[in-house]
Parts: sequence; C-alpha cells; structure tokens
Amino acid sequence: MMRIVGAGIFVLFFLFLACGCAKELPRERAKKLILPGEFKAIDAPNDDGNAVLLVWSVAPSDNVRPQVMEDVIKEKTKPLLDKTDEALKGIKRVLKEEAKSKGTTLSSEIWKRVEEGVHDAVAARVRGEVESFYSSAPRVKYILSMARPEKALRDEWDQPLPEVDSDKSFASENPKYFGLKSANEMLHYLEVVEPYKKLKEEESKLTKSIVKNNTEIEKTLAALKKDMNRVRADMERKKSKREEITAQLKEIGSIAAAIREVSAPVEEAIAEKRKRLEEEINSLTAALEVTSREMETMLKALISGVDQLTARPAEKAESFTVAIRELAARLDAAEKKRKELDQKTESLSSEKNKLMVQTEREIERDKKELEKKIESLTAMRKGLAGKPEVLEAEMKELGKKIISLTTEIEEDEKTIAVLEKPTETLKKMEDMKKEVQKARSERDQIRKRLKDPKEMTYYFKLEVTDGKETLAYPTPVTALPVANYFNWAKLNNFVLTVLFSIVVMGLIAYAKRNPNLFIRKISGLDAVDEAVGRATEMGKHILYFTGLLGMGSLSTIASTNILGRVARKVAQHDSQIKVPCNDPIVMSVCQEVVKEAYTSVGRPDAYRDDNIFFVSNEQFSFTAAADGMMMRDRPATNFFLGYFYAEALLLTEVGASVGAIQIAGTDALNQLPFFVTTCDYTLIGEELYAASAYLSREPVLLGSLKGQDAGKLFLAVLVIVGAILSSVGINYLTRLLEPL
Amino acid sequence: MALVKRRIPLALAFCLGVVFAIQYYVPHPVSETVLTRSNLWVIIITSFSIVLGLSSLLHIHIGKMRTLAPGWGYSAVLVASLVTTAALGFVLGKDPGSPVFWIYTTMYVPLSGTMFSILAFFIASAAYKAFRARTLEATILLVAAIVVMLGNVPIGFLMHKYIPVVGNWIYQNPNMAAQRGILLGLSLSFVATSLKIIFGIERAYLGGGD
Amino acid sequence: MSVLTKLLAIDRRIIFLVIAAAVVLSLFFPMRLEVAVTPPVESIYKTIESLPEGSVVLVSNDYDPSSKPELYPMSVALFRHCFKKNLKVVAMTLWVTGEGLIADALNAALKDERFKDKKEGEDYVFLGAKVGGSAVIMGMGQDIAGTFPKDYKKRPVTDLPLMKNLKTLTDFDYVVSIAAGSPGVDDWVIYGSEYLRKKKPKRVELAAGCTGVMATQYYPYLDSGQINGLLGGMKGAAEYESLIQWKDQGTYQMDAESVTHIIIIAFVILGNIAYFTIRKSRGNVTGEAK
Repeated sequence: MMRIVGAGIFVLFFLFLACGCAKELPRERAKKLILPGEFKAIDAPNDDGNAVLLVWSVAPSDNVRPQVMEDVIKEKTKPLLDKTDEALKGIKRVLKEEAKSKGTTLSSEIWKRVEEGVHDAVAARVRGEVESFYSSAPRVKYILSMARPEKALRDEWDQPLPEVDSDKSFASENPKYFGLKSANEMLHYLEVVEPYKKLKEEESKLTKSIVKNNTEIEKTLAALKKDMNRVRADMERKKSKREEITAQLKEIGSIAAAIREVSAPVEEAIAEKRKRLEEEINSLTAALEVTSREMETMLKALISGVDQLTARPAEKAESFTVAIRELAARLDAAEKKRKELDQKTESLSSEKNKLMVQTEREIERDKKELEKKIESLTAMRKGLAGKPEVLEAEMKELGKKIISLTTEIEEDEKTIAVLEKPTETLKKMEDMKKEVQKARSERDQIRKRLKDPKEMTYYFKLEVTDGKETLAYPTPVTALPVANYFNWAKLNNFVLTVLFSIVVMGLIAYAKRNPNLFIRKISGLDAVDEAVGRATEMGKHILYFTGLLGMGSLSTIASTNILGRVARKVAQHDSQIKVPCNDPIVMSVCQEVVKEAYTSVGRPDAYRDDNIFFVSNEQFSFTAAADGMMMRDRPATNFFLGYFYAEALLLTEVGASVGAIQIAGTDALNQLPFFVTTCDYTLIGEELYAASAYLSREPVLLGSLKGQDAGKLFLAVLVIVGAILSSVGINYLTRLLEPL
Repeated sequence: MALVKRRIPLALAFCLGVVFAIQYYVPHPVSETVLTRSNLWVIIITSFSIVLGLSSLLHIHIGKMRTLAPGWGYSAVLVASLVTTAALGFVLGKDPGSPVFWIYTTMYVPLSGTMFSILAFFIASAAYKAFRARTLEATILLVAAIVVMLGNVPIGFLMHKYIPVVGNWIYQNPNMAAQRGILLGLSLSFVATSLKIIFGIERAYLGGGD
Repeated sequence: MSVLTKLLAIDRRIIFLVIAAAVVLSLFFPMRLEVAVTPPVESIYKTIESLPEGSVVLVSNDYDPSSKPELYPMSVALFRHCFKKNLKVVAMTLWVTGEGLIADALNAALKDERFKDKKEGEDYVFLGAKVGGSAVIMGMGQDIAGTFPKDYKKRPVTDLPLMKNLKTLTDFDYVVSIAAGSPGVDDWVIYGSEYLRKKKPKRVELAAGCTGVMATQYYPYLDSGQINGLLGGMKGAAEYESLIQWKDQGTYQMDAESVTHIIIIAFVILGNIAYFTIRKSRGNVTGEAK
C-alpha cells in the first residue's frame, strides 16, 4: 500500500514539474502589416560610451522564427509518425505471415531500412509543407535610420543602419532591463556602435591631416636646415681645404726657395767651376793650338827650306851647305821647340785632365751636398723628387686648386644666401601652417561637439516593410551614448570577490591571534622528512622539479615555497639537492631560495650554485635531459611539484624505474592520474598551494587556507541548494553567478 | 638593497594588483586604454625573456665546453645547432623553402613528435602496473577506464553501439563533476594566492624565502 | 603459476615491444573502421554548418610539433569544412614553435582543386605567431591590428581586404581554440570570453580542440556553456573528418589507436587475472612489473 502511495506521490511530483512548461507558439503571422508596440533607444549599459541600443518589441506581423518553425514541424511530425508506425506494424505482420507461408523470413535489416525510409519521407513531407507555408508569407523587414537632431527635425534621415529581418528576435528574460513596458518576452535588437562614427572619422581625418602637415612642415624645415648646414659644412670644409692648400703652397714655396737658396750658390759654384774648367780647357786648348800652329809653321818653314834647298842644286854648294847648316840648326831648334811644345802639350793635357777630374770631383761633391740639403729640406714633402721644377709644378697645381675652391666657396655663399631666404618654400610652409590652423579649429569644434551631450544626442527612426507597404513608427527616439564607470553586469562578481577577500583577510587576522588552527593530514607532505632522510642514508641526492611554467604561475610560486622548506631540511641533514630548471627566471629564484635556506640553518658553505641549473625551455628537451640525469645519477628522492604537461609520465616512470621515492603535487588535472599511478605520494590540486602553510604552520598562511576553505564551503552549499531549486524550476540562484 | 629587492617590488605588486583588479570592473575608455597599453608591455617583456633564456643557455653550455666537463660534446652540438639555425634564419629568413624551414620540418617536427610518442609506451606500462582491482574503488576505476578506452576507439563502437555512449556519459557526468570540484577549489586558491601576492603576504616570487 | 607470476612481473620492455609491433602492423594492415560521432564534436559541426556564407571564423592553433598527430588533423579538417562552406578563415597561433606547422595545415587544406580559387588576404589570412598568451587575447579584444600589425608574410594587416572589417574579437562569427597546453583553451575561456560576450544580441561562440589527455578537464566548460563544442584528441579529429565526409590522417591513425587500446586492455585484464589467481592460491602476493 505504502509503495503504491509512494509511487503515486512520485508521479504527481513529476507531473507538477512538467506542467507549466508548454509555451504558446505563434502559428501564423498577421496578414496586415503592424507596427511594434514599443520602440526605444537606450545607452548601451556597462560599456565605454561607444554604443546605443535600439530595442523594439515583436509585432504580430513579424515572420515566424526558425526555432518556432522547427517546433511546429516537430509537433506536426510526431502524430503522423505515430500513425505511420501503427500502419507499418500492420504491414510488417502481413509480410511476416507471407514470408512464413513461403518458408522464408523477413529480413530485419531490410525492414529497418524500409522503416527509416518511410520516417524520413514523412518528416521531409511535413517539413516541406510547413516551410513552404511560412515562406509563402512576404518577408517583413525593419529599416532603421539615424540622424543628427537638426536633420531629424527636417526629416532628413541621412545615416541608414543595417536592416533587421523580422524573424531574427531574441528572448529577453527581463524586458524591464530595457525599460520596456511590454511583458512580451521576445524583442528585436540592434546595437549601434559609435553613432557619432562620422564625426569621429572626421576628427580622425583632421587629426591625420594636421599631423601630416605638421610633419611636412617639420620635414621641410629640417630639410632646409639640413641643406643649409650641409652647404655651410661644405663651404667650411672647402675653406679649410683651401687654407690647407694655401699652407701647403707656402710650404712648398718656402721649400723651393730654400732649395733654390741652397742650390743657387752651389750651382753657381758648379757653373763657375765648369766655366773655369772650360776656360782653362779652352786656354789650354788654345795654347795647344798655338803650339800646334807654331809647330806647323816651323814644319812648314823647314819643309819649304828643304824644298828650296832641294829645288836649287846647282847653286853654290857653300851657300847650300850654310843653308843646310842653318836649316839643321833651325831643325834642331824646331826639334827642341817641338819637344818643349810636346812637353808643354803633355803637361797641359795632364793638367787639363787633372783639372777636369778635380773639377768633376768637386762638382760631384757639391752636387751631393746640394742633394743632401735638398733632401733635408724636402723631407716633409714626401714623394717629391726634390727638384725645384717638380715642386714648382706642384705649386702650380695647388694654385689652380685654390682658385677652383675659391670659386666653389663663392657659389656656396650664394646658395646659403638663397637658402636663408627661400621665398617659395616659405610661402608653401605658410600655406601649410594656415591649413593646420584651420584643421585644428575644425577639429576643436568637433571635439567640443563630441563632449557636449546636446550635440551627441542622435535621433533614430523605425520603419517596417513587407516589400509592398511601409509603415513608420510615429515618433523618433533619442539616445546619448555615455561611458560607464562601473560594469554593473559584473556586480555579482565584484561582491563575491570583495566578500571572499574580507573573509580571507579576516581569517588571517584571526589566525594571528589563534595560531593553532587545524589542517587535516596531507601524507605527501608528512613524507618529505622521510624522503630527505632516505636520501641522506643512501648518500644520494634529491632531485626537485618545479614544473614547466614560469614565475608568473601560482603553482610555480607554491613550488618554490616548498623548495625553501625542503632545502632547509636537506641542509640540516647534510644531503644534496639538485634543481633542474626550464626557465631562467625560475632558476634565479630557486638559487636565491636554496641559498637562503642553507644560510638560515648555518650551512652557507654547503650551498652549491651549480646544483640549480637551467636545462632547456623546450618541453621534451628538458624531459630527455632530466630522464638522462635520473638514469645516470639514480637519485634517492624525486619531487615533482608544479604544473606539468605530457612529460609528467615520462619523468615519473623513469624515476620509478631507478627506484627513487617520488612525491608529486600538481594542479594540472589531466596529469594527476599519471602521478597517482607512478608516485608514492601525490598532492592533488590545491594541496600544493596548502603545502607552504602546512609545512611552515605560519598563522598568516594558515589563515588564508581557512579562508579558501570557507569559500569552498560557501560554493558547496550554493551548488546543493541551487541544484535543488533548479530541479523545481527556480533558477534565480543559477543566474546569480552569471554575468547580469 | 632591501629597498630595491623587497620594498619596491612589493609596492609595485600592490599598486598594479589593485589597479588591474579595479580595471576589470571599469568599462571606461581610460581603463581600456590602460589595459591595452599594459598588454603591449607584457608582450614586449615576454619577448625579451627569450633573450634571457638564450644567454643563460649559452653561458652554461659554453662553460661546459671550456672546462671539458662530462657531456661537453653534446653542449658543442647544441651551441653549433643554435648558432647555425639562428644565422640561417637571420640571413635567409624562415619562410617555406628556406633552410630554417627545412630544419624545422625535417628535424624539429619529427624529434618533437618522437619524444611525445614515447608516452604511449610509458602509459601502457603504467596502466598495466596501476590497474589492479585491489579494492572496490580500484575496481570501479578499472571498469570505467576500460569502458572509456573502448568508447574512444572505433572497435568499441563495433563491439556494442552503447559503449561510446556510456563512455561519453562517464566523461560528461562523474568525470566532469570531479574536474569541476577540483577546478572550483583551484580557482579559489588562485584568488587567495593572488590576494596574498598583492598584499605582500606571499613573497616567494622575490626569491630568498619570506 | 610460474607463468602467472612471470606475467605479473613482466619486463616493461616486452610491453613496449608488443605496443610497437601492434602500431606498426596496424599501419601496414589498415582496418578503416567507422568512428561514432559524439555530441560535443557534432555541436561544432552544426555551428559551422549554420553559419551563413561569408562569415568569419577565427581558429587559434596553439600547439607545436609534439602534438601534431592529434591536433594537426583537427586543424586541417576545420579549415576544409570552412572552405567548403565558403566561410572566411583567420588563423593564428600563440605558440612560436607551431607557426610553420599551421602554415602547413592551411596549405594542406587548400591543396584540393575545389579551393584553388581561394585567395590569401580575401578568403583566408594567417596572422602568424605572437608571444604573450592572455595578453595577446586581450589585445585582440581591443584592437586586432594593434596586436598583429603584420601577418605571417609580413604584410600590414590593415591592407588585407578580409581584415578591414575585423577590428576586435566581436567581429568574428565563431572562434575555435585548438590547443595542446598553455597558452590555450583556458586562456580563451577566461580572457577571450570577456570580449566574445560583448557581441549583442548573441555572443560569439567559442569551441575547443585539445589532446586526448586534456579533453577531460574541459568538460566543465562544455557543460556550463563556456565552450559550445569539444574536439578531444585524435578521435575528435576522426569524428570531425567523418562528419565532413573527408577522411584523412585523423581517421587513418585511429587504427593504431584502436589496436593500442585493445592491447592495453588485454594486458590489464591478464594482469588482473594473474593477480587474483595468485592471490587466491597464495593469500596475498604482490608482484609488480619492473
């Protein structure tokens, strides 16, 4: 009896839940075009002042929504399908009997396909009919327009907005949110973003042109200045070059003069010597000639005497003999003379040779002295042969350069004069400045308008059309977009955050007064001592992994916290801890943490920087390196505390294979199963965050842990109560946590 | 030193934490601009952290090579690969068809895939070790695991059409409930830890303990 | 009994060998089994099917080569579906090491003759990679061109016809995050949703694709409606390929996955049989694999 009553109550309960769920579905649209009951324009809430919302209620003449059509199709299809199934059952019975009578069986596979085919055909037929019924109605659209107040008053709606199909509406669960009086739950909606877009575009254009012109002006000025500076610099350069060349010229001139000064006397002396030598040679040569002539004369006389004598044989022999004796005496004298002359000639020749040699030597010596002097004079003029002619040629060259440079300098001075007063460019710049001023004043006017509420109010017009007829909403609506200072949709979020923060801070303050707060046992953390002790006994080190995220991750922060505690214990036990890192910043932090831990227990000497090192920031490169370390070094204990990805199992399996005791803790939910199966102890989720409080027992940390627990309790109660209420159709609590 | 290492970072953390906590609730354009600019800063700073990593990596491996520490050969290979790839990338770019793209597709992609694929073997051996029906809970886990595994492959569908349905139900109900519970707890921990960091109670990120 | 004891204490390398042999054999002797479609995957398919032509879909492919076997087929299948429906695609990635892979995926999808008239810059854009994770997503919520000033091929984004009307995240019609970790789906759900929700009257929907291992943790988001669909691992890719009737790597690789799963299940069952038999005969035996 009780069971029957119970079952009855159960059924009634479900009936109660089921009632009230059916909705009135519009089946047809009104044939005549009808305007919506209400049309409003409102500032979009909780935004940056960028948008206006246009909201209007659904009208009876609107096209049916696709969702409604689907519901109608389902509604109409179901009874038909039921009737079809009934008919098919009968047909199946008949076919089975027939098959049985023939000794065969009706294939269930084939019959199933037949059933499916019939169902599909019925459903398609119904769908086709419903769709064609609804689509035969003319398409109703809403046309919206926008205008500035002055244009709206003149009925000039110059800013069209996107058309809205009448079958696109949405269910607002709170029409009062939009200030609509109607209780109609369906609304049309259009968000107009930046209604003052045109003004803003104009402002932006003007700003761009101002910037462009200013840039142009600055560029031109800069170019002018640059040119002037360039020309000036060029001119200065040329001037200094000219001065340099002039100085060179002077230098060369002075060297040439010095050379001349030195060379002239020497050359004069050389010339003098040559001249003297020539004179000497000439005089000697003349003397030689005289002597030769005398000799010739004598010889001629002798020869003529002999001729005479020989030509007159019959003459008196005595006189001939006297003549011959005279001739002989004269020959002797001539012979003597000739010998004297020969000797003189010889001596003159040798004298001449000596003189020549001597003079040449002197000349040579003088020349060498001269060259040395010239060399020393022209030492600063490298590449010069030192000959005055060469120097003079160079001087001529330099002189030409000076002249050309002077010409160029004069031209540059003229250019500078022009650049200092560039009339055309200045005129162009003046024009640009005027343009900039004009644009600035226009832009300021627009900005003033953008800030003025009266100016920023826009008017909106609504029309409905079905292609043949158009109806306009009688009065246009206005709205002013305003930037909001608080996003009211996040109010629930804000309140909960503030409440939670107050609870946490309050409990922290409470914990400071009452430090002995209870935390349940976490076996993984209790095992830390055991793990460290094991490593000390085995004489092996401990390997500590902080996960794969950087210092910005809360799990890494929690891990470094625990590292400090573990490192302290390691230092106390005189063991070693190694921390391979995959992030350089985490590595730096870990080094500091471990160093601090060693120092705090009085063992700064035992700390080794090399034990905390960077491996790689690539996931699997890091994993391969870590696995290699484990296989080679065979640590006694492994800690995996932080956020891990796919490499979790790779690390823990290898760690398990080398026989290490493994303690893991992660908030990576998808890696927890792998840690649980391969590690000796696993901290699940927020036990990792609680670890620092658990190990240190600091009141502040315990208090925040309690705060978290209070928050969790609140959420748990909310979930249970919310689930019960939702089951009976009260969804208020569910919506409490959604954006409003 | 305490001023630079402690007080200034703590003050910055507090000020910026409060500013951005408030920013979340303020839709005003000024607030949006602050967020946009700050995001650009974050992107730039994150990019620079690559430089940090690079310099640290080179420092360690070049040090190993210099002292001929065990494994210095691998360090040499690493440094050579780094320098070659970087040089090729800077000079010839990284577009398809370039040497760097070739290195990426023929070396990096297969190597990464290979390391990830080792997981399959480890999962098999871990599953074999772990799935023992020692207790009631372990048995439930075992059965659920088998159903889900079969539901995830076509063979399960071939065996019975409801296996994937049951597998999906396990995903969407018990699994989802447990994941949600852990996620809620974690989220509260995030908020609490963030508050502790903003108010300077949590200082591990500064290094050197509390 | 000694066989059962040996089975309990089996060398893990034998398990590795059997798995390896099974995978290799399944690739040489494909079975081409049909994949059953699940509602989370079907939801994504239906959403894309319902988008009108010309709608813009943002696909954030946040993975690197290590997750290529699972996520690459997903990306390719999604791109193919979008191109088939004449939807515009904007691809991006938050992982620098995945940039080349995504470019590859787009090219693989575009190889088909039917898509030869798809023009880069008009029908699809690849924005490339940007480091910064959630900062990039928030930046896109404010100003896409400011966050991605140039695309993958270093062209100014403002010059691309497709990007001219896409200023912020609300200008997209659908967003899909295919991710292997962080930054990824979590960042899109936490930070991206803030902006996607701003579109009125209906917010921009967000879907997710992830590795098989990570799929379980996104069911709470699926249940609460924060994501409207989920592609889980290689199976998700295979299901999607069967929905779009374009079978490729996702489906072909399922053979290996099927065989591996069966072998693992077989090993587990054998192990349990051995465990219970030995326990029954000896009382309490613990034997473990090395």
